[in-house]
Amino acid sequence: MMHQSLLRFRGARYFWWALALTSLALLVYATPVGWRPRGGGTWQGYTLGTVGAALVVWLTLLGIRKRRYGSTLGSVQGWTSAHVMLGLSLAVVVTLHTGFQFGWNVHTLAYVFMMLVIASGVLGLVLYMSAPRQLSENAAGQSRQEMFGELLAIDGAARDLARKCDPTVALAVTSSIERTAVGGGALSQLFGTDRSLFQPSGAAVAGLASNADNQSVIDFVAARVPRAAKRIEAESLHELVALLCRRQALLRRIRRDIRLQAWLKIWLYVHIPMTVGLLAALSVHVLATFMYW
Amino acid sequence: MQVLLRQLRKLPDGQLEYQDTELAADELLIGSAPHCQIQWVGEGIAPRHASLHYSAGGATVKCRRGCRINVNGQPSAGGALRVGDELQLGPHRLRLMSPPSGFQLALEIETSTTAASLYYESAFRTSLRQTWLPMRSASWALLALTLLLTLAMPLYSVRLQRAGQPVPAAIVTDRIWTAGPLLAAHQLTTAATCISCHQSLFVHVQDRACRSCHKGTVDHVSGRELLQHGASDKPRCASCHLEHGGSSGHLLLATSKLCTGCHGSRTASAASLDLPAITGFAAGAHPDWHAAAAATGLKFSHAQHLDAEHVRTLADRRALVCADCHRLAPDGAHFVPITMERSCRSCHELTFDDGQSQRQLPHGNASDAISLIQDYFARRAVDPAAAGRQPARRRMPDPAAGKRCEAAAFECANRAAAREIVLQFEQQGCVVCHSVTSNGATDPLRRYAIRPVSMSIDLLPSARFRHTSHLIMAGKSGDAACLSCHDARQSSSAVPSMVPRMNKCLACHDTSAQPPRLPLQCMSCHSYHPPSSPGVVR
Repeated sequence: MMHQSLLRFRGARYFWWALALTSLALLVYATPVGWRPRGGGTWQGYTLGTVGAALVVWLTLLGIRKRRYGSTLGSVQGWTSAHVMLGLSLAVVVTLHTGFQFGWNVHTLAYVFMMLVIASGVLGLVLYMSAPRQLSENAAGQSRQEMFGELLAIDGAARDLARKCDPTVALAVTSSIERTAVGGGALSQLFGTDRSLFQPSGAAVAGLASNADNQSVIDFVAARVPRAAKRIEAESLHELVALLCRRQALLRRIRRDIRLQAWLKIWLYVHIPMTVGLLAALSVHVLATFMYW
Repeated sequence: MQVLLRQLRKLPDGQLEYQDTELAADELLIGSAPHCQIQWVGEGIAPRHASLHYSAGGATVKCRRGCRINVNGQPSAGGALRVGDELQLGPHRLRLMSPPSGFQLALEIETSTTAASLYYESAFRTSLRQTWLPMRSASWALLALTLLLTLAMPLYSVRLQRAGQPVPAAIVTDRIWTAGPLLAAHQLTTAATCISCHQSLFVHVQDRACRSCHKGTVDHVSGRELLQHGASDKPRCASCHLEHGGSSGHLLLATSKLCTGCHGSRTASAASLDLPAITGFAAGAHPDWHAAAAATGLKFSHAQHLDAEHVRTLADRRALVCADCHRLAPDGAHFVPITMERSCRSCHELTFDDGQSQRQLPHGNASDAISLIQDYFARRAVDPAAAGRQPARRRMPDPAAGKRCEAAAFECANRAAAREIVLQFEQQGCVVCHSVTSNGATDPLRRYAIRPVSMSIDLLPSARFRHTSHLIMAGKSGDAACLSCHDARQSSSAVPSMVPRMNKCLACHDTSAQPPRLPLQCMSCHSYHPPSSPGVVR
């Protein structure tokens, strides 16, 4: 499994690298600073800062390396493993570099950007550890495309079946299909909010009611079964209820798939822009240090 | 408008099946979304791909932005439609029929189900990429914003400040580059303007920036002198004074390294200046000192005055303590100079004529004292009542004075005065405490020279020491504290001999600050910027 071997790549090689780097940084920090207070201005500060800046630049190179499919410079898996481990150690190296001096300035801005990048990366790592198993359990061997194909087929069958029923049932089922909300905006995708609607009677459009989780339309059709005048109608309604229940189960899986996939991506929407912001703030941080030193 | 939708479906046996639906709608949507009246799913079909409208002028089709639909075989973004026109989108077809009575529009729709299931997902927004969440644009925006706010604007503010122009409040100034808060006084005087000190980009803060305010500050070395002795450059102000530590920090950090950086090794330049290597304050790391050789000019025995058997106060008959004579100056380091009037006269009266005179000699002016003696004896010669009737308190009568003077009264008075002057200046008076030299002149006013007294000398001019910090020391206070450093009970005369040597300090202090020793840095005793000194240079 990719998400496990990310951390245990080649006997957790990069875990030991990161541990060594962190220990070295602590050792450098622990050396006497002389008469200056701890911070970026001491030789320890310059050393840790140089290492930190080099690490930041190298860590961003993952974005380039993973797009170079022809590259033979290590595997993307190895790079990602190193990216995670050394990225975590960066938090220690740079915090020691600051000497715990913070303020309202570009230096702390760069630090905040970096910590946001690392925090979002940790969130991404946690999601990569847990989401794939949930995704495969939920998908049950079906691809997203196959699930939607099935939905289209059920929708068609339900429309056909509904047409043979009472017009109110037909309207309810057709409107429930037409007003089914899947995915949608970022928040809907992330939290699986379901704004599905349906038209429960022959009333005007204003009579739309919530059909979250496709439950209301099932209840509506099921309630019609005992009132069916003819046996054939009752059979159609039975069949329709069964179909709508299948549709409900399928929609649940589709929505869960969308939600898990969205979470697998959302951290990148912080990670990437913040990385770019970090590169800018880091450059100004270094420049400002030497402009006013 | 009333619309007739005729769905055409091919049955497995090749027959066509019609299914008519009536609709009352002003707009018909064509697209892959389920809410479209004409739901067509397929490659390249948007959730809301196009719409059909009907007005008095006829039917029109209008595609959404970026979408196209084939009208009679030609791709089109929209336009007017006539009966018989055929719309095609992917595998799906639609034809405008002549509407039956009661309908404004009649459509024959042929929906293909082939491969539709592959593209149904596109009817929904199922990926974050399809939402408002920006990644690329946010990255660019953050890059631009960061560079604008932290680089471009501050650089512009530097330019405005250099040109002496006001910086608009909306501009982020170069203060965003600050390495930390300033000392409160510097914050106030520079109005937190960076260019007050950082006068050139990429150049260390120069001393002239400091000197623009600190005009009177003197250094203990000059660059010229150091150059003459082959030493490295004179340290900058900022070599020792570290700004941006905030108000709670110290501009000068108390560490001996500031001094031992230069004085720590006996370099060629140090050798040529005859400077020893000083690596700190510890045995062998710092030379011992000698008190300045200047003497007070007085004859005085501390040991005698502290001897309780022989010397006691007049008022309460107790032994003398240090504080009876030595009073700390407000600086806490030095003592108020001892004066005869304040410290000595309560015991040591300046009576004369064997105590028969009610008067005392003036102190501090030999000529006045001589004149007073002469005046006294002249007066006594002409007015015997002026002679005191008090019996002699201290001295046996002078055998020479005891002889009866047979000369004229004034001559006798002169002789008595001359004898008293010799007594006071050479035998029992002034000479007890002062060094008096006589040149043998007949005129007593020109005969004596009294060595000047210097009570306010700084015995260790290159160092500072706070007596207030040591008044209670190692469990001792009062005289015990004083005497633990100053061997006054053994001192018979010279004051410099009582200045403690280095070993006294080392009992409690050294630079290593190893317990139970208390830390002592170079700056605890020495100053790089002396208030005044002979070798001082600007």
